[in-house]
Amino acid sequence: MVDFSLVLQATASGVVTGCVYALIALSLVIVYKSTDVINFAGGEVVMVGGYLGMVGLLYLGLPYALIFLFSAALTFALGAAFDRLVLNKVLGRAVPGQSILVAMVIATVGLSYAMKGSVRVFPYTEDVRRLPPLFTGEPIFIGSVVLQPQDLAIVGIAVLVMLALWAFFALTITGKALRATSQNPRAAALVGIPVRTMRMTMWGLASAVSAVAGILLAPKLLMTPDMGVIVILAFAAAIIGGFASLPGCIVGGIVLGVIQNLAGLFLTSSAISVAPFLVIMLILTLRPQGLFGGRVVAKKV
Amino acid sequence: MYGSPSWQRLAPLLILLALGAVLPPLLPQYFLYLGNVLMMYAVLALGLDLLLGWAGQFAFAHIAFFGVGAYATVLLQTRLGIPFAAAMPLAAILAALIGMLIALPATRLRAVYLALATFAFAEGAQWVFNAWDRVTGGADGLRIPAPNLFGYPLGTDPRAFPVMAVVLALVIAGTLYLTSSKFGRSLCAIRDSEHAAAASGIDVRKTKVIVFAISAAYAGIAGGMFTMYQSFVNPETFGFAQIVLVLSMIVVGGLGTLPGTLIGVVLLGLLPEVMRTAMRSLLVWQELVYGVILILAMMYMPRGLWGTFFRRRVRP
Amino acid sequence: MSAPLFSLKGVSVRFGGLQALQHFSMDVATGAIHALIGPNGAGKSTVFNCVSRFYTPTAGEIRFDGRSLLEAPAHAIAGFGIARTFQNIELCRSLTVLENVLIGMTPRIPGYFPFAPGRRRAAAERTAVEEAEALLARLGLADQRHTPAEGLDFGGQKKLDLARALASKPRLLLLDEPAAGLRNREITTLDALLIDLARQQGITIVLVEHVMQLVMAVADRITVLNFGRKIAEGTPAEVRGDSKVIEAYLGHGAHA
Repeated sequence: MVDFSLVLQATASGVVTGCVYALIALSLVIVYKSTDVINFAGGEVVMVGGYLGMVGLLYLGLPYALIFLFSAALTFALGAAFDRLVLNKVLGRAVPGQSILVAMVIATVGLSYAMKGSVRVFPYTEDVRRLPPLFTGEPIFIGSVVLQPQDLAIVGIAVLVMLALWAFFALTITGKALRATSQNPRAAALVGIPVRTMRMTMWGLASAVSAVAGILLAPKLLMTPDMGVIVILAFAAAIIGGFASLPGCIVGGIVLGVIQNLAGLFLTSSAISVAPFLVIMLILTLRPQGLFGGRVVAKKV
Repeated sequence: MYGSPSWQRLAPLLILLALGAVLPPLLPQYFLYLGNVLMMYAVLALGLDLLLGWAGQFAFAHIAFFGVGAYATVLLQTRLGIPFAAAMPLAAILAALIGMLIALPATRLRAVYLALATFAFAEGAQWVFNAWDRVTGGADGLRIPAPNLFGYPLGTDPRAFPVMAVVLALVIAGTLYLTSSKFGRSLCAIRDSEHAAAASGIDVRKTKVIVFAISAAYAGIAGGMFTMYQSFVNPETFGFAQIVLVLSMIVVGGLGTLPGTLIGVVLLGLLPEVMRTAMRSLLVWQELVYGVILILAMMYMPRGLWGTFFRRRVRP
Repeated sequence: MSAPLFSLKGVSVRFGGLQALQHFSMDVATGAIHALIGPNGAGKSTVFNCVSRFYTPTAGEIRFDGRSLLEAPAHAIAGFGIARTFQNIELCRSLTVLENVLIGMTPRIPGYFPFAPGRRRAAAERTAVEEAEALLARLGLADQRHTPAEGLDFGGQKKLDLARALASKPRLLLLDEPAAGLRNREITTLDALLIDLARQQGITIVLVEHVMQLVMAVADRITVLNFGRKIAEGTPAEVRGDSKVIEAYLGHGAHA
């Protein structure tokens, strides 16, 4: 019989990591909803965001709070540029008998290698670096659960970002225009919404969110150019929530984080690494639309 | 894409067979090794192209079947004493059966979910290769016993080369016949319009399951080919980077075209070697170059090399 | 009077909150040309999609030659002898004209082992290609048989859709807006073709159509749908003068 406090601890840690998965998952789903593309570079954007944060903190001497903005702004520009320069071109060359998505996905794969390669080319990046955490200090005790101050910072900032996104999409005109574009690009274009600019903005936004996740993640992991492999967990989180749902990402991320830790507690530790794949396959087989996706509707002929 | 492949299309295979016989004594071992690698990738790529290029199915479990083929070929020989000549086909059949099992639930999924589910399966398979160490040797992998083809020992590059060439020639010939058949046309129909396919009497679901199985068999054969010239099999080989490489080969070469796939294999298969020798001090640039090539290829040649330059022209 | 070749009885279809078809019944006699008309969104294509088994009705039955279609999967419909064209011209765009027709012929080409040469294979393919080319010649597409379908003009693509359907030698042909987007000259050719198919070759035709010129010229019988319900049925003359029909198309208070 397992000590209940261990379960609580595992759950709490799971919520913390889950928040980070949720952020990355949000980034993936924002891109998917606006361009139908699965962004295989999702993990690398997180990695680059983390590195930019490190550059800002350690080399430019920016205060910690500012590196979030610094990194987010740069990755926003990077994501937007990729969409504008590369994906636009790829989209414009639709080939019958071949889904354009294949080309777009390969383009994102190319982006992931290009980003990984660029970071590796910079001197000193291969030396493993650790980004100092946002908050240091004594561990905090909530009941029998131990959390680092960084953990609370992660949850806090993640929640902040999610709220900001929600407010943006629900309350601002640009946000509503973005939602309209992703639901029905043709109609959006007809009412005068600049679809290409909207897509670019979505990519930028998604990249910025990933960058924040990267900075939050970096103190917990070792920073290497291969950090991006974490993206598979974000995919699992997004799928749990239903790949088309933003609130689903949040729930999915937290659920996944908790499942992972509990699996590590009750089963073997290697179960932690396979849990996301099992989760993905199970959900896609039994309930592909995840927890929050709508009912699957037949396509009109 | 009807009738039977003409002699013109089959003749290059004879050249392949001739090269297979003639080159081993002439070329240094390193080039023969490269040749073996390319021939193995060719079979792998042809299998994935059948699924993605011809049938339009976004399924990425391919590498898992590659691994099954390799591990099974070795295990059938070491654990059950089955000779290589039988072990390799049996391994391919095993891969096909697993492919069929996966296809049954997978074919119910829409494109993006299919991609994610099959990708998850492939990653899960790699985890199994790592974790099931009593059978697969875990992360260390298995030592491949020198395979023995009716008394002719393989196991080294010069010896494996002609046999690989024969296998590849058979696979290419089989692919030519398959794609020019009624079944091949059905694959294209499913890709271009499932509604037209169903209305034309094609059992879409059954055809998808069959092509999944066939594609898995190709991967299983490639796994067997792997054991012909390599000395170790371990889980490293069967990961995400591999599926990305094979995918890039068929897309850059030309989806849904046999010559395109082969061109893609040669180009992207040799690229790391070229970069390694030409940019010896710049090894670290490899990833960046590779990524940029992929991006440029998709921006300017989404049909792939073959599709852009040699495709039948659309008459306005 | 002999039993109708093709009949729908009490067919209802629901999509979420929308009742696309309600208690729809229609009988089609052998060898007739039967038109199904109605304003946009009336549910006409839904009828076809039920026959093709892309949708399953919530109620009702569909019978062809005495057999129920609702127990069959979508791919078996062609084997019954039913073929259709699509409103969106669902073609295999990357394949050539000839290959598209060969796909339409799939149910009639005998199976063979696809990986290897063989006498049976060669014979099956040769016969299929000959028949396909003959069909293309009859429809005036023979010159373009090696053109990829995406390279045809709109009229050509519609003809190809029809060729694909005819390739299976159907007894019942369902045409979904065959005249949409065609020029007047092409519509006249289509008229003649449909009449030839029905009278000379005995193919029963049901067409969903908006272009009244075609409907009035060729239809033996017309069924009118509005909001998923049948509002009129009869000969062209009867339907033309029916006030409910006029109202459905032109709105309340309009007159012929």
